Parts: sequence; C-alpha cells; structure tokens
Amino acid sequence: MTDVIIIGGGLNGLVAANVLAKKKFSVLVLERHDQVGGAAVTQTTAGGLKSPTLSHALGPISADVMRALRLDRAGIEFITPDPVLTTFGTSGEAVTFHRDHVLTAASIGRVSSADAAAWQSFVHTMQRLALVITELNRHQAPSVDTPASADLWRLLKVGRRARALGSRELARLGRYVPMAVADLVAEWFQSDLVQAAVASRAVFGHHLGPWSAGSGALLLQRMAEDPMPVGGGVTTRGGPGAFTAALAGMATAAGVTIRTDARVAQVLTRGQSAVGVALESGEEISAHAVISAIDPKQLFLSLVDPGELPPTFRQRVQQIRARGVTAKINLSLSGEPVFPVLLGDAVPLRGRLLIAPSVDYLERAHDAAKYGGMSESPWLELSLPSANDPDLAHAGQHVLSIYAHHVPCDPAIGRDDVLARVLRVLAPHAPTLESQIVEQEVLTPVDLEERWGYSGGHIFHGEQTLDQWWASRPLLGWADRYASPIAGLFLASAGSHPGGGLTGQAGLNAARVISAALHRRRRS
Amino acid sequence: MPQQYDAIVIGAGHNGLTAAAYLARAGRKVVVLERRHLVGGAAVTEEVYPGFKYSVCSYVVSLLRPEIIRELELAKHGLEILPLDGTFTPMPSGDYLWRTNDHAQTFRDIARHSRVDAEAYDEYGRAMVEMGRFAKPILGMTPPDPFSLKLRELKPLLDILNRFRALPDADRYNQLQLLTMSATDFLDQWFETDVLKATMAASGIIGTFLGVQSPGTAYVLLHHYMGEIDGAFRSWGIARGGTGMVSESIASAARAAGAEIRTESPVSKIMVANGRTTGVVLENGDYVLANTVLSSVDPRLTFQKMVGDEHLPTEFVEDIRRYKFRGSSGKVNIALDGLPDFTAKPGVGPHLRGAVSISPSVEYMERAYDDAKYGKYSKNPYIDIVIPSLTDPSVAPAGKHVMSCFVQYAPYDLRNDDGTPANWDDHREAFGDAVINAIAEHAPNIREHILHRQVLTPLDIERTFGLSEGNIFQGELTLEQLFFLRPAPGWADYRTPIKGLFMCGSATHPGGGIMSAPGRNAAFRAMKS
Repeated sequence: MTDVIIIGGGLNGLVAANVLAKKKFSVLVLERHDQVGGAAVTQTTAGGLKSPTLSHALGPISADVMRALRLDRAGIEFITPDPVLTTFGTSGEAVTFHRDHVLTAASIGRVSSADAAAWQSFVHTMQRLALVITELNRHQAPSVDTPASADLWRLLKVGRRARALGSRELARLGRYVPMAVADLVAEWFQSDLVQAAVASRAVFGHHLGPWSAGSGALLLQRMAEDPMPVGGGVTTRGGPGAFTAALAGMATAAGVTIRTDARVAQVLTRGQSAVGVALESGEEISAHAVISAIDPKQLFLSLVDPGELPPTFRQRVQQIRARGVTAKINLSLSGEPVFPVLLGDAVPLRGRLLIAPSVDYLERAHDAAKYGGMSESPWLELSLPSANDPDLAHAGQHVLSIYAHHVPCDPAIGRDDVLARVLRVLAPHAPTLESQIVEQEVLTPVDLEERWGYSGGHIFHGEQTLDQWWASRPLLGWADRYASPIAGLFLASAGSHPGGGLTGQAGLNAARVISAALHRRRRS
Repeated sequence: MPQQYDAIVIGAGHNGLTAAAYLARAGRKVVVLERRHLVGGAAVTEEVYPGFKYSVCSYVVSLLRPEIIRELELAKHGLEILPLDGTFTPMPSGDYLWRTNDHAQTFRDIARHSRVDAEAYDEYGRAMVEMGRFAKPILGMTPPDPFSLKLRELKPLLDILNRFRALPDADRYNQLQLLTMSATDFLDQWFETDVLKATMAASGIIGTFLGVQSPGTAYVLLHHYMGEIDGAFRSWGIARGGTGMVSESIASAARAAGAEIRTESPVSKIMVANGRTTGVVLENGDYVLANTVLSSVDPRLTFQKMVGDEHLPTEFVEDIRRYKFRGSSGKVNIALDGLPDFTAKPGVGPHLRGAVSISPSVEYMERAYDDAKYGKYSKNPYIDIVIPSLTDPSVAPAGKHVMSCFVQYAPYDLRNDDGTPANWDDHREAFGDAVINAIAEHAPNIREHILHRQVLTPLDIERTFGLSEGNIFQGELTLEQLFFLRPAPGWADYRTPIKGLFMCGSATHPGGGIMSAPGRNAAFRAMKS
C-alpha cells in the first residue's frame, strides 16, 4: 500500500512529493488535469503557441526549496528578466524598473527626482524588513495552544533577525505591517506612477485596495520571497509549466507515481482517520496518509464527509475569506505589440508591463469589486514571455499574458466583457494591439474556481491578510502541524503557511513536518 | 515676576483637567492653561443660540473610566449621566430597526428582520463582553516599548499573549479577527440582516478615515461594549446639562484639590533649556514656570508649534510629521421648534430618545466612504442623531429641542472634481444642506422645524477646538497609531524627548473618546519621574 497520497499536482504538491520521496516514502500524486503544474502550467494553443495559462511568473522559487531539491543542478534554465517592469502613465510618461537600482533611479528621475533619490534606500529598507518575514516563512508557524521548545527556538531565530534590525527599523516594521500600502508608499514617493507600481504588488490577487489597512503586510510578504519591490517576473525557459514538469520528472525518477486525469471525489476515512481516497471514476486507492495540496476550503467542504469534521471547524473553514479578483487573458499575437511611448525600444518588453497610473486608480478598480461589479478601467499587468523565450511562438509571433484586476467571482461577468474592457484600457497605450490578436483565452475567477478548484477563484487559496496568515493559516490552531481534525489527513498547499505566490515554501515546510509526523506514526 | 508651579497642564480638555486633578490631589501645585474662554476642549456645552445649549462637539459619554468617576468623586462635583436608550435606524423601504436595552423588545424587533439574527444577537453581545474583559486592562496600562528589545519592556506583552492563550478557543478567534478584520466581515459571521450589520458597523468607523469594509475597523466595535462591563452606567449616556458638564465636574474636582485653571491663556511656546522644559510662554508674553509640563493638545501643536523641531531628535520630528490626523467627520447642531417625524415610525415616541442612526445599508455606508476617499464629503452621509432635550429638558426652552448630528464623511482635505484642493469655507452650507437632505429622506418634516443650524466642518473643528485636521481623536485610531505606537514608537509611555514634558491627551494610549484614561495614566507617569 502507498505510504502517501498527494491530492493535487501543483507546485506545492510536487515539491512535497519530491521531499517525501527523498525521505523514502512511497508517494502517489493525483492530478485532476491532463498535465501537472496547477497554476504553473504552459499549454499549447490551437495555433501552436505555448502560453502560460495561469501564472506567467514563478514566485520566484524560494531559496530553501532550491537547496532542498538541489534545483541548481537539475538543469532547469531560469529566465530572470531585466528590466523587470515598465509602468505607463496617463500622459505619455513611463518608468522602467531594472534589477540595477541606479538604472531604475535614472528612469524614475524622469518623473520625479525626489523619488529617484529615495528608490535605493526604499529598496534596501524594505528588503531588510522583509528578511524577518522570510525567516517566519521558512519555519512552521508556532503552536498557539502548546508551544513546544522547538517553537520557541524557531521564534528565537526570528527574534534574532528582528534584533539585527535595531529598534528604529523594528518600529518601522511594527508600523508597516498593519498599515495601508497607500500610506506606506506615500512615505517614500511622490510620483503617482512609482507609488502605484509598488502598491499594486501588495493588492495583487487580493480583494483589497491600496487604502485597505494591512496591505502593507502583503507588500512585505511578497518582498520576503522576491527582493524586487515591483516583482522580478522570474520564469523558466518553456514557461512556468516547464518548471513544474521538471519537478514531476525528478519526482518520477525518485520513485513517485504521478497520475493525471485522476480527480479525487472524496477522502476516505475510517474512525476519524484518513485511509485513502476515492476518485471520480469510482476507483478507491488506500494509503497510510493523505496530503491535500489543494485549496483547504475545497478539501474540507467538498472532499471530506461533513460528519467527519467538528461542526465549529467546518463553520470556520466556510468563513475563510477567499474573494478572487484576478482574471487572466492570454493572447496570441501576429507580431510584436507596439507601445508608441517606448519609441521602438524593445528592451522594456522583456520585462512585465503595468497599467496602474496611480494609487487612486488601483483603489477605484477595487471599489467596483466591492459592489460586485468589475471596474470600467481595471489595472493590468502584462507579460510577453516570447520576448525572452522565442521558442514559445512561431517566428515573428508572440504570446501576451495579462492579469486584470479587480474582477469578482461572478458568473454574470462575461468573458467577452472582461476582454473588451481590458482592450479598451490598453488601446491608448498599444493602438494596434487589437488588430494583432490571432487567438484569445479569457479566464475569470469563475473559471479558476471551476477548473482549478480555487474557492472563490482566489489565486492564493484565500486572502493572505493578517487574520489569515502565519499561525492562522488556514485556521488559528491548525497552522503549526499542517494537520487537520482527521488523523492522517495533512495540508500542503498555498492555503497553509506561508501561503501562495509559487515559491514552493508551503509544500516544503509541510513535507518536512508531515514526514516527521509519519515517522512517529510508523514507530507507534 | 513669573509664577513657579510644580506642574503646568496645557489645555483644559477632559484629559488635561483629569491630569490636573490627579496631580493636585497628590499635592502638586498645578495650573491649567486654556486657550478658549471656557474649559472642556471638545467636551463643552455652549449656548450658541439663545436658550439652546449645544453639546457642540462631543455629544455622548460612553467610555469615561469608572475608576476616574469614583476617585475624583465626579458625581459630587455635578456629573450626572442620563442613559441614552437605544438606536433607531430608519430604512428607505419604510421599515426600521430599533434596538434598545430592553432585551425582549430588541429581540422582537430584530426577529422581524431575521429570527436567526435575533438569537445570534445575544450570543454576539456575550462574546463581545468577553472580548471587552480581555481588552479592558490594556486601556489602563502604560504601553511598553517592545522595540527597545529589553526584557522588562517585552514582559507586559508576553503577559497579554499568555492571557490570550488562556482564552477559550472561540474567544481567541474573535479577538484575533477583531484586531485585523473589517467591521462588516466580522459581523457577516454573526448576522444576515443588512441593516443590522450596517448600523452596528457604524460604530467601527466613527472618527476614523476608514469604511465599514476596511480591515481594522472591527475592533472599534468593542468600545461599544466596554461601558457595559463597567456596570457603572449604560454603554451610552449623556451628561445632564450637556457634555460640558463632564469637563465642568472634572474641573471642579481639580479646583477643589487646589488646581488653578486659567481660561483665555493661550500657550505660544514650551520653553526648553538643554533638553528639559522649564515652563511655557503665553501668547501675551507672560512666562509660567514649572519643571513638569503636561500637554493635552495634539502632537502637531505640541511639538511643531510649541516646542520646535530644533529641540527634538530628527527621527522623532519625522514620526510626528508622519503621524496621521485626517479628520473625516463633521457636526451639525440644530435648534428645533418641533420633533422630527420619521416616516418609518411616525409620531413622537421612545425611539427618538436614543440615537437615531442614518445607516440604512452596508452599501450606503461604504459609498459614503468612497466619496471621502477621493476628497468629497458624502453625498449621502452616515449620521448619528441625538436629541438630548428629550432626556434632559434643561438644554432647550420648553417645547423646543436641540438635535445633535454627527456626520461622516467630511474629509479635511476637500478636493474639487479636478482634484485641486477646495476650501471648506465655500462648502460649509452645501455640506449642511446635504446633511439635512439625508435626514429629510426619512423625516420630511425636519425642514419646517429648524430654528437655527450650526455646521462644523473639519476645518471649523480644527480652528475652534485646536484639533489638527479636525480629527476628533487627536489622530487616526488605526493599528499603526495605537498602543505602543501612539503617538510615536518609543514614546508611547507619555514621556517625550524633552525631559519634564509629557503628553496627556487623546493622542496617547488608549486614545480618543471621553475616556480620560490618557490624562490619568499620564499624571501617574509624570509623578513617577
């Protein structure tokens, strides 16, 4: 009998599979789709172009995961775009963010010399603060009820990081975490463009506006894994799917069995403990333990018999806030998109492009979603993967990947409508774009929920706001052991600490904790 | 020859007076210096219109610490709190929601909207009282400075953490959510009736520049239940003779203990000699000397105007400059020759004796906030109406009434449609009209009964009461400006970088509202040094 069944062949599921295989467990991964990868997939369009169906970038993969799985030696070719991002203003101005702070400052200087001067120290300050979060992310959250000495030891490590900041910077961290990111960026920058470019990173994927308190913490969370305040957009040659495919290859080589088109219908339990799963096909597979690498809400509300869960637990799961707001659009273009503002300079196209001219613009996009509608002018992040990776498209052609915010999870919001609004927003910046479209694919939060199983279409498996973070992810009291009220049923998805963003850290943390737990169970 | 005192208190608001009273009772020679012609600060009663006594700014009492009422014997000094029973929320549909302290009545009325909610309401009340018990001791404590990383400073926080861990599971969830969630998200977990959630959430946004859906608004809901725990009086009340009587009674207690109170004595400078204060200079040039000065005015006035950046560490100067005020509320005080007649519940009845809350739906509340975010006052504002003359006839001539309307949102930084700054002086009356219109939506007869109308914009509140940017709490009550972060990290224990100078106003822990806790805490801290 298999030791462990992992539900879901997404990034975290595959990371967990590899870790457990290294620890000599027999592992079976069950993926509902015809290919593994979850949010990190590359699919071939009818026209033969390879496009990043959901995410067009990786977290990047956390340093811990790289080390634990020796990914530096796995022959995976990462693409690290530079410049990383160009943001367009409303009156023909643009700012380009490079990996080099001096180059970035030079570009910012065109809109604000004060902001140019502030950039480098902003980046360094935020990176130092984020290190404390990184340290938190690297370890399982502490137990609230019965903190073990190990918990205290881990907290001590974090404490050391914190002390290294010194009182002044620590106080800053204390202020920034509960703050609205709009206030945070305003402390550093005057220019709308620069403020919004940084703030957009914080509200990305969340039912929040930059004026929502606590969005400061989200910026720090993102920077804990990606030192670039506006995001680095790291990916792999062949798209994000090539990376998860490589992980799958490594897992198989290590003895893991991976079954695609194998959708789990139910977690089988006997006497309060998990004994296996039943597939939609009716097939039943038994195992010593089941690890869920899917959205915890989906798991507990659809795959587990309600009778098996304490009522209050189930109720709390229902209350996990997951209001997806991200729509994804993939376009095949007959040629390279033209942004007149760039005056023919193709270099910025290697990085992502941003349409979010001001903090108010971001906030208004959120306002619409508050009342269940989609903003007339959504804020957009674009990526042209084929600019760095020509093999994705036929010569001359391109794939354009677009995230649109804020689009609520509501069947009444039509795909055509979403596309139309997005193109309307893009028209002033890329007048010829619409005429270049050969193929199009629009995914709304409804699709993310139905096809990928993200509750509410939330790409992070639930808001990562302070009340659903760290020791309360997925629920207060259930964060530390990646466990559930059902013995032998474990959690290893973005819905667990430290959350989503395609870093693989949740899968790694969980696998480590779980393998220890499984060893204990074996012995007893 | 300038007089020498043991301590000077700047500002005769309720906190300043409280501090003075405690100092005087400890035998210190104290003088309180007030800019205006009367004491009370934002807690004043003024006869703005002949025969009508307005509680001009602050209009209800809910959080005044019972130990202060006891220790200062405020009842003996003329304080009488009259219960303000109930909240009546008219709805455009012609229906209404009416909650009072009469349990059966409230249950029946909520049940009209939702049986489930009626039952959940009790449960909710009990849970909140528990939460309040947990939070209450924190109000009375001097915030530690965790950022110093000294164990002595971390200890109090560990104690709080341990008390948190000792809480029952359910309470823990609530406590955590209260800290971080939005009022509506939190209430969604308990109730289904929109109007109930809207009108309850309203208490989460009072005085803040946040909407009912903004994270961080949930924990303010708690304040409503704090009063109840004390049992000293109901959670909401008004002072007989108007809110000014709260200040008057504290002033009287202070005088009785030997404190001297000087009105029309505006302070222009706080004197600093090699890092410590030696007293203050009045605007008329007089000197008043003391080695201890407690400022009950806000940090911007205290440090930028009275001390001067040159005497302060740069980092502290930055912190004070960053400290957010962002006034978001206005006040409309009305003299009436008749009572408003609400379409939803016609006639004069007990429903007018409590608060009347114009908060018909969550969306109404949130849209009111959206206007403010972009520099507009709310087209359809949230209004908290109280008619004190129904409970305390002494504040209006026979048969006539005063009506106090607290209004949100009215952003201090008013903007024109093109985003350019607008001047409140040009929009005061239009704002007043918007408020009357919003009330008339539910009580059309209101217009005929208006004898006189006093409109206070955030700008007026700043000018009249010396509250920067018109923030009624002397600074936003957002998480990053609370507890050990209020008013600035490292300086939450009422001390300041100037030796002998202390802060004792609402800009210090535990913040605004007629609580007087800052004044009391600060007085003890000052006497410790």
